[in-house]
Amino acid sequence: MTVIPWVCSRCLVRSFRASLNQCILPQRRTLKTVADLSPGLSPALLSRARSLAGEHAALTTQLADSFNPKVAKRIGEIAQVAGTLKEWDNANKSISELQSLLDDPETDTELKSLAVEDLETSKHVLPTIAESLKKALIPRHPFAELPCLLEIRPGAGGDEAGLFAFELLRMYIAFCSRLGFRCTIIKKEGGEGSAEDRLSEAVLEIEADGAYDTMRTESGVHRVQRVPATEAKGRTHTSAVSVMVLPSFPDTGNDTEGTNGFDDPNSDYYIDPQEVRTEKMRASGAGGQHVNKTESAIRLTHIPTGIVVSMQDSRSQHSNRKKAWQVLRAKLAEQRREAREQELVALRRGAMGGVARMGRGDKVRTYNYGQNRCTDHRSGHTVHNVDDVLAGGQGLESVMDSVRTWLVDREIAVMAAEASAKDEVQRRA
Amino acid sequence: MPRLSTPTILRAYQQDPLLPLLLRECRTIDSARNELRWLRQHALDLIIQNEPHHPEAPQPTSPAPNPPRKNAAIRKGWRRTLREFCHARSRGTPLQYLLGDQPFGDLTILCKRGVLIPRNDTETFTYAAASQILQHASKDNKLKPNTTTANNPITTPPQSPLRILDLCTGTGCIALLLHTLLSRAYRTNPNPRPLKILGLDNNPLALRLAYRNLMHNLALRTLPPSAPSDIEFHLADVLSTAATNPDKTPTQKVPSIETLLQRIPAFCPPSTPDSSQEKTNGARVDVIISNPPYISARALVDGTTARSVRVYEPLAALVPPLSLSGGLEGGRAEDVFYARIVGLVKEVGARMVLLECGDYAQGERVVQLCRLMVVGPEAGMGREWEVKIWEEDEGSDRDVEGSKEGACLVVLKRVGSQ
Repeated sequence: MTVIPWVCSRCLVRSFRASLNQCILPQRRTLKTVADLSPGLSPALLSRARSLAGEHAALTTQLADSFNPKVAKRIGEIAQVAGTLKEWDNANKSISELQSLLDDPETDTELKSLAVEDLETSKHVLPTIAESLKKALIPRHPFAELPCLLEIRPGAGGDEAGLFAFELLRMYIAFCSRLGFRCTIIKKEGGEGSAEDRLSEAVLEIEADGAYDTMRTESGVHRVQRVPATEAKGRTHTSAVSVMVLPSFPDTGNDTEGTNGFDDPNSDYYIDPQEVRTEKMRASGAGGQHVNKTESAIRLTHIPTGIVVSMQDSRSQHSNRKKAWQVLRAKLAEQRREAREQELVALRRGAMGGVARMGRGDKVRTYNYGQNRCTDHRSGHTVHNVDDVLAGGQGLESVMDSVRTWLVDREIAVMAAEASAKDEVQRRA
Repeated sequence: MPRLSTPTILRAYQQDPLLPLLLRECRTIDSARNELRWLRQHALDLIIQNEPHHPEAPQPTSPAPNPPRKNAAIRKGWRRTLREFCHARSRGTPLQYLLGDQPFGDLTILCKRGVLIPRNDTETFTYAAASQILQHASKDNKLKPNTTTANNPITTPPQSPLRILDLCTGTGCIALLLHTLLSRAYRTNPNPRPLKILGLDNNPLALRLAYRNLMHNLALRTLPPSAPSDIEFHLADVLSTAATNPDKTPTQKVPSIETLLQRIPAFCPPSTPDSSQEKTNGARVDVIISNPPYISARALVDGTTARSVRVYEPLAALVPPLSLSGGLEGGRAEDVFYARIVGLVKEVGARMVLLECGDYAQGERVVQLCRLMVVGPEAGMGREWEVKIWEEDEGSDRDVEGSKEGACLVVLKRVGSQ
C-alpha cells in the first residue's frame, strides 16, 4: 500500500521548487567560470567590468586613429577599471594554471611545493584586487572633481547654534589650510548684534579641484551637545548646525566640452536667466553722480524653485552679483542632482533592499563636549578628542575617512544590488 | 531726507555703539552694519600691514595711500582708528576716501580726495558698454570683408586697433575696466584685435591717480600685462574746441581733444588722402565713452545731490562749468559736455558713442541731441545711425518709477555700413 491518501498542495509546491532550484544551480555554476574562485565579487559586477573593459579597448583603437578630447576623457575614466580587470584576470589565470599543475599527477614534488607557495601568494593578492576593482567600478560622482562651496547655517538652538556654526566654520577653514586647499569666505553674516563669533549664515568657497569629493562627507546636520556659554545654570543643551556641500562651477564653463557648462542651454545645470529675478537693494531716488551709495546688496530669486540667494559682503555690486550667481548655481545643481538621485532610488527600490539613502536632512555627526567625543552616525566612528576635531586636525580627517569608506561600501552595495536585479531580469527574459 | 526714527537709532545702538554714527550717512541699519564691517576690517588691516615683523608683510606692490595715517593707526590701535573712521563717516566723508579704494568690476580703483569716486551705476554701464562694443565689433567685422574691402582700406586691415576714447576719465575706472573686459573677451579669439584706449581729463590730479590705478591693478594682476602699452592717459580739455581757440598758442596749457589726438600716433594713422570719409581731421576713433559732469546747478543744491557728494567730491567733476552756453543755442548748461561730445562724433569718425546721463529726462535730451546732430531728421530712412537709452535686460530689476530717476546710458551707434 504505497498510495498516499492526501498531500498538502503547499508541500507539493515546495518540494517542486526545491527540485527546480537544484536544476538551476548547476546552470549557474557554468555561468560563473572565473567568478567561482572569487570571494566577494559578484558576477554582475564582473560582467559590468568586462563591458567597460571592452569599451576601453574599442575607444583606445578609435583614439589611435584620431584624437578626440571627449573620447580621451572617457578613456581616462574607465582606464582604471580596465587595468584592474586585467590584473584580476592575470591573477585568476595564474591560479588556475597552478591548480592544474597541482592536479596533474606527473609534476614532480619540488615543482609542486613551489606551485603551492605561488598559489598561496596569488590567492592572497586576489581580495585586494577585487577591492580595488570594486572601487574603480563605482561611477564617478558628477561633481567629484569640482571645487566646492560649503554652506553653514545654524539650525535649532538659537544663539548656541550660531556660536557652534562659527566654530564649525573655523574648523573647516583650519582643515582646508592643513590640507593646503585655498579657501575664501564669500559670505558671512552674523546674527543680530555686533557679536562677531556667531553666524546666521556663512558660505565658504574651497577652490581646489576635487574639494567637493573631499568635503562630500560633511553634508548633513551636525549636532552639538554641551553647556553653552550663554547658559547660566550649567545645563547641557543640544543644538544643530546644518552643513551643505555644493559644487562650485568654474567661472567660464565653456572652455571644455561643457558637461558642467551652465551657459549651455542643453546642460543639466543650465539656469535660464529669465527665471531669475534680480533685486538691487537700492533706495529709490537720484542715482549716478548725485549720490554715493555704498549699498551693494544683491538678491537673486530663482522663480520656479523659490530659492533665494542674497549677498552683501563685497562693496562692489558686481562681485556680489557674481558670488550670488555662483551660490545660486551651486544650489540648483545640487538640488537637481538630488532630485535625479531620488528618482533612481524610487526606480530601484525593489532591488535596494536595506540600503538606505542618507539625505542632508539627516543627523550625521555629534560633537559631545561632556564626553569629549565626536561620533559620526553613518560610519559609527568615534574620536575621543573634540578639540582636535574642531581644530580641523587629524581627528576630523579620520572621521571623514571613515565616512568615505562608508560611502564607498554603500555605493558598492547599491551597485551590486542593482546589478544582480538587472541580471535577474535578464535571466527571466 | 526723512529724519531717522528714534527706535531705529536705539536698535542700532544696541547692536553696536558705533552704528548710530554710520546711520547718519547710510540711513538703514543693514547698510550701516556693512559699512561698519568694512571699516573694522580696514582698521584691522592697517594694523596688520604695519606690524614690522608680521609674516604677512605688506605687499610692496600696493602703495600706501596715506602713510602718515597708517603710522598713526598703529600708534592708536584699531579700535580708536575705527572710532575715528566712524566719526568721519558721520560727517559725510565718503567711505571710499576712508578706505582708500573702491572695487570696480574685478578692479580695485584707488580713490583720493579731489577725484570723483566711481559709482555702482558706472560699473553697470561699463559692463553694458563692453558687451555693446563686442556685439558691434563682431557685426562690423562681418560686414567689412564683403562691403568695404574695395573702397575703404583704412578699416579693413585685420590688425587695425580698436580705438576707444574715454572722456573725463577721472580715476580711469572706465578705461581700465573696459580694457580688462575687452581683452578677456578677445583672449579666446585666435586673432585678437589690438586695443588702444585713451583716457582724457583736464585735471592733472585725476590723471596721476589714473596712472596709479593702472599700476596698482597691474600689480594686483587684475589687469592684463598688455595694459600699460594699450592704455594712455592724457591731459586735455574736452570743452575747448578748435573754434574757441583757433590757433594753438603755446600759452594754452591744456590742449583740446583735436590737438591732442594729432599727437598720438595710434589715433592719428597716416591717413590716405583719398579717404572717402567726411573731413575727419586726420584723427580716427572707433568708440567714445564718457561719464562727464552732468549735475545741473539746481540739482546740486535742491536736495537731489547728497550732502556727502556736494561737500566732499570735486565740484568740477559734478557740475559742468556754467560760463559756457553749450554747443547749441537753448541747450541746458548741464548738457554742455554732451553737446560737445556728440559734435565730435563725425569729426573723429566714431562708430559708437556711450554716454552716462544723470536721469532719464537728461537721457532723452541727449537722445534728441544725437538725433539733431548725428542721426539727422530723416532717421527712419537711411538708418545709418541708431540712438537709444540702454535698457537693463533683467526685466524686473528696477521698479518703474525708480527707473526714471536713476542714471542711464545713452548708446549711439552706426548701424549702416558706409
